[in-house]
Amino acid sequence: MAKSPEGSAQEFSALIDPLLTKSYALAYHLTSSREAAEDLVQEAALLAFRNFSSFQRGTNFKAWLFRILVNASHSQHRKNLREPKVTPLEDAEDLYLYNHSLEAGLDRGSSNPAELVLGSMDVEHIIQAIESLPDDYRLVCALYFLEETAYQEIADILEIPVGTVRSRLHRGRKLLQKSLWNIAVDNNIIAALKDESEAVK
Amino acid sequence: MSQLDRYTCEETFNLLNDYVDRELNEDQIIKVREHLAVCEECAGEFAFEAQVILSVRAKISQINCPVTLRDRVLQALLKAQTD
Repeated sequence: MAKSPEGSAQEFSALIDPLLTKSYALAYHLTSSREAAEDLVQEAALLAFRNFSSFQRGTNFKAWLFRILVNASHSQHRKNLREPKVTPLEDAEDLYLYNHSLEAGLDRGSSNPAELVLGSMDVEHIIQAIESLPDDYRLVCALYFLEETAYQEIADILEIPVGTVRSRLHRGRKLLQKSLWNIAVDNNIIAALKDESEAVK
Repeated sequence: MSQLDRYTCEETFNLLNDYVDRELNEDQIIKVREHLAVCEECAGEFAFEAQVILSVRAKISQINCPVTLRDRVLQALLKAQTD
């Protein structure tokens, strides 16, 4: 293979190194497997390196890298590998987690019920919840929850209009709340919190 | 409705996501803040929704890049450079 004509390996490594953890977390969302996530990050890093000459210096390297990573995950090979572990969601009402938390009597003391429920869940539960979203919503939400990211940056990464990001994010967050609640119920987290709540009363 | 309460609950609710994400313009931010300051119910919903986002992000930030991945990527890049 020819060396990247303009970009040196050193420059590329310095740019990608601080982004490996976020890249891995994003890849984990996209593949739902730690092993497949590592493969995807390596593949994306190589693709980015080979195309480094097309990266415009001074523009957003992270957005460029994440776009390559997302596109790499779209390959048919990985689509076949990804098997949904939960039933896709159809719809969810507004304030799903809020209303269900209050109905379950989890609004005790000074604790925010959201902190109470989500604080009791594992990282794997969160990954599972994002995985349950329909593909379009899953991608937008994965990028959104990775870190505080402006709608415009998500739009740049996914190459979709910012209005589409907004609408997918709004609906995706509602669906995510329903999924989080269902997972918390299935894993007896809500039952345990209700018991604790009863004991306090 | 008080003079300060320039948005209704419904109008505020419709802007809550954009407010949490700092995607509103200055005028909208002021109006939402004014409403949240006088409406306990909306303020409670806002605090809850904002906490959901913070909590999900906090969980996701616990995902660490495996130590071996960094070496693996660097080795692959070195190999690609010399091939």
